[in-house]
Amino acid sequence: MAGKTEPWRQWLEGHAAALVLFARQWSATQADAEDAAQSGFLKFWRTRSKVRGELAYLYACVRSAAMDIGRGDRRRDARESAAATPDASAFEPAMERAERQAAIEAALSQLPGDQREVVVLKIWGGLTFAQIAEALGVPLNTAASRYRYALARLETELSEETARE
Amino acid sequence: MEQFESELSRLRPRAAGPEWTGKIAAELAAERRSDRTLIAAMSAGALAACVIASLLIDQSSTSMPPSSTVVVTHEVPQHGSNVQAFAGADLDAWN
Repeated sequence: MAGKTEPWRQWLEGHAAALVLFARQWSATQADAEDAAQSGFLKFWRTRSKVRGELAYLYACVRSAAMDIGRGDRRRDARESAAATPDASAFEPAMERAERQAAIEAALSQLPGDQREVVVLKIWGGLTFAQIAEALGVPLNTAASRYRYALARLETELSEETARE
Repeated sequence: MEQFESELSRLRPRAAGPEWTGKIAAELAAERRSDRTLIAAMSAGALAACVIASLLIDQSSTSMPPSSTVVVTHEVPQHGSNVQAFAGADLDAWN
């Protein structure tokens, strides 16, 4: 048994950071995103034998959990009349390119949610368009076109940002 | 486009802390314990049911009365016995 990593740990080693980043889109804070990723992962682990596309299903579970937690957050925010503000960057700090990283993150946050989630799944989740389509429940062409629109929009946004500087 | 994609992919998402993995490990361990308890309880229940059933079967077989033997008390009529009976009968009763 020693030296053998449990299967669930292998899944987490490969996807934990991307799962939390994915969940972050519906979460006000990193802690909420981690809760959502945890809850989604546990649901995935209990029920994964019932599905064929495990990776797409994993992200679908996390998405569903993050949305549920996000809805709870909105109700809480409405009660407290306080807007949720992200607590910190969703990415590891890169000292040499901190400004560029901040600009990219700001541009990402400006994307429509349906485009942003495709970018996160493709770039950081490493999913194919077929897996993205399965995870989001959309046609493959829709997933691909959302990705293209999102990248074009990000590039435009960032080049304008660079031009302003 | 590809250059921009590779620039994006160089950004590393923030890693979840070790306590996050620890929470998942604890949840999964608790589920495994719960599953084992359930299996043990079901096995114990099945075993108890078998013991009770065997006791009931055993009890019902010992309390049943022994099978009775039919004893024929009358003699099987022999040849000529009816003649003897007639001879010994009170003939006056016929009159």
